[in-house]
Amino acid sequence: MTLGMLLDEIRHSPVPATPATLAIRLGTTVDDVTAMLSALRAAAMIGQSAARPTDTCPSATSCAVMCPGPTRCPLIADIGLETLAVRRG
Amino acid sequence: MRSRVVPAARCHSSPPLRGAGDFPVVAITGSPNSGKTTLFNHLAGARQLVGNWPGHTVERCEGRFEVDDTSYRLVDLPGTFGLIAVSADEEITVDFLLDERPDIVVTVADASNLDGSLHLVAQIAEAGLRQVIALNMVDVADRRGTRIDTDELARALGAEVIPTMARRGTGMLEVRRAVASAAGSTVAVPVVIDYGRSLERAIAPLVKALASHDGLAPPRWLALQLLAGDEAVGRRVAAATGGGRILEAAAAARAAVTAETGEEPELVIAERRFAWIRSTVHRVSVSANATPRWRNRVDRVLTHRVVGLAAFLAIMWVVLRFTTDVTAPMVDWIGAVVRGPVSRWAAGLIGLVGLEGGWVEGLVIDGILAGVGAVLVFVPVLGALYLMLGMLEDSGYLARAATVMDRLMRAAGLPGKAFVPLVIGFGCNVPAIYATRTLDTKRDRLLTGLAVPFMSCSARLPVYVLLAGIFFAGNTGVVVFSMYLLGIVVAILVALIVGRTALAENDRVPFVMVLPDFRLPSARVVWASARQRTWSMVRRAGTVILSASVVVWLLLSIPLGGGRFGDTAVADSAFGGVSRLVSPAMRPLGLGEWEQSGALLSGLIAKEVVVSTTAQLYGSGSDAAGQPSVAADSDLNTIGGGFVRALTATVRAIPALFGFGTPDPVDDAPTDLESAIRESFDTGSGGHGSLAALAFIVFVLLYTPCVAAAGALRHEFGTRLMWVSVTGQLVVAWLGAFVVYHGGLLAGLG
Repeated sequence: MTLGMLLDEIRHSPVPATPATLAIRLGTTVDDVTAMLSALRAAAMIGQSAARPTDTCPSATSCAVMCPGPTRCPLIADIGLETLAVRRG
Repeated sequence: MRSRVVPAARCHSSPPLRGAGDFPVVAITGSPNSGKTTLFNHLAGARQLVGNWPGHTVERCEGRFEVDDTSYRLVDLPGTFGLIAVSADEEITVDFLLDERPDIVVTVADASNLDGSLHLVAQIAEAGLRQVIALNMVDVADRRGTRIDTDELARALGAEVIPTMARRGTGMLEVRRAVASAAGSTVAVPVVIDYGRSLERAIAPLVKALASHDGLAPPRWLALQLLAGDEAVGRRVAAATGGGRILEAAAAARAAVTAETGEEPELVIAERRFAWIRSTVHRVSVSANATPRWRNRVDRVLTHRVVGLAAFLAIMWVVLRFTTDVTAPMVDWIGAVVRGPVSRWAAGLIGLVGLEGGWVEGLVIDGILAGVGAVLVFVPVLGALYLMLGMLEDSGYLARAATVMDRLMRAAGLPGKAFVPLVIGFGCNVPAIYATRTLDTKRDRLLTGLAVPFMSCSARLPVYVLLAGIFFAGNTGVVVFSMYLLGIVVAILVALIVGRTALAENDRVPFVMVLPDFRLPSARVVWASARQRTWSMVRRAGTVILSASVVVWLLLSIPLGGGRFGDTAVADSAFGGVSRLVSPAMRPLGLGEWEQSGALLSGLIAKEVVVSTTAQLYGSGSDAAGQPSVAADSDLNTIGGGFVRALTATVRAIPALFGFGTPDPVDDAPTDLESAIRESFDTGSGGHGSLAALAFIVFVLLYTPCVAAAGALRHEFGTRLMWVSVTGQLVVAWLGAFVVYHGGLLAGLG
């Protein structure tokens, strides 16, 4: 299994994939897929597909005196989910 | 060898410069979440927030430390996975490493994810930068059964490797010593990876051409970057004399590699580097850290399209039952304290300064204490919700829920990633609306922005608990759970209808969802986040709710048809007059009393204000002044003894939630406020108070969350779409409440 095969699988996946679904489709383990995703990420071939919620909230204008800044907003739940999209290649 | 921290860290956005003393510059880099910022704080003595957001460090931070009287300047760089910069954060790091050429780079590698961490280490080594590797989280790796031979790793990477546990500050002295030692040497030992015949053939002539330029070093790394299509390096080379010719040669070499291998050169480079890293990791570590089988199994269950959805609903059910049922004794206790001792003491103090019976007493007792107190009563409810939310966050479950919801989202025409803003909406709709920026297309952003306001934010919870406690005692959890579910269903339906009728489909961008590790939530993290969130709610009560309570009290004190300020019946006040204008529109929903319309009107400011206004209208605190004086020991018993009883009942309610034991009996005697609310809903609906209350709750769930959310909609989508959204929310809320009320009447309920 090569990085190219993994990249193709991501590109042609009809629905958002997870390392588990990719592992099943490629006949390998989740750990292998995770390691390969790291390699593709380090080569900037895939990357975070969207900004993080904390980067986006200019709520100081809406939350007035109570806004502690987006990175410290206690009401923004940290879902911990990363979405990686094909950047180039 | 002596070393000490010079506690003079500072953060700024301008490039760090070498100081007058020209201290050696030490850059700290690493991939996001490797513990880089924690390590920096230990080395520099800096005070900087350390969070769990990926790519948390967005500013460069500087500090200093000394080893043997030599000062070193520390620069904390944004996290990056590699040296090809695509994002702004990565660009900052790469530019600094290439332009400033720091004397030493401390690369923080995650020992528990050595495979993933060595990509950056290898690239920095290939770039010819002198490196010290802080092998962080060795304790985590150890727990997972991974043993790393650091000497062998150091030999492979040509750099000293120091095991660290940045969270505990372990290994910091050794890192400082290693920095001092590396700074004393003059040459870096570059890592040379064999990229295979085809690529090496392309690299060689480029290296030769690049070597003739003094400003372009190191040539082999630059050649690799050019072949990998690194645009930033391409621009650097283009700016050099003769750079154009080098770029032409690089383009030709890229084409030749592609023709020969059938793959783009960047992929060939990544494959070879990956192979080198795998063989290095294999050589230097013994690992039993394959993901435990139980985790894969649990993951499979929780992300299954049917079982996963059922698990999601079950978890929501437990969370909301815990939130409402377990906290009930505490809610009762705070209510009793606010209505009793606090109101009496406030009235007593006002009497002491001779202001009893006047508008000051009205403002304090009927305005502030009734309004703010009525909201503060629900602090335990929100505290419990935040505690549960923190546990779901820290365990990694929310990401699993996202993958389950992804299917529902896509069925509704929403992108899977819409789940992120929608879940944030459970906390507060305002950041959730801004979080729609994380979506890829304008259509996705708009569709999700229209759906978010229907998600039940935490500010609506006090309204549900107040009314469900009065009309559906014993089933508060069921009502609250139903509202959360209804919010999700309506959000999806709205997206489905708008998406199918008003907005064209767009192409889907393929992506991978990477889930965080499943783990037992850390009590410290969960407690800290719950405390912070609950405190924000208390602050809100002291600002927005307080202001709204004062405004509502003022409007209730202004007589419309003659009379004195502060001495008018609420029905004849300015507030009553405005509320009566709206009241006819609410009558078909069983909400025939103007007070209900008034409370909903005030809820446009913030949803908790519905509770504070209701308390003011039905006069929960107004009887304080007229209460007979009560002995101090009775008040102390209400506070101290009541707290102990509430705490005991709370503790006993937890196992009862899961069917073990029985909860302490709740005091069912309604308070004056509860009786007044029940009577009003019964009167307004012609005897169908419970159905009217349910319609009221549904209306609160579905109408405009607050002015701040409307402002966020305007900010993100423009004034026109904000009005479309706000009007749509009011229509949906009215229809929803109508269906619930009349559906209930037809079914013979209530």
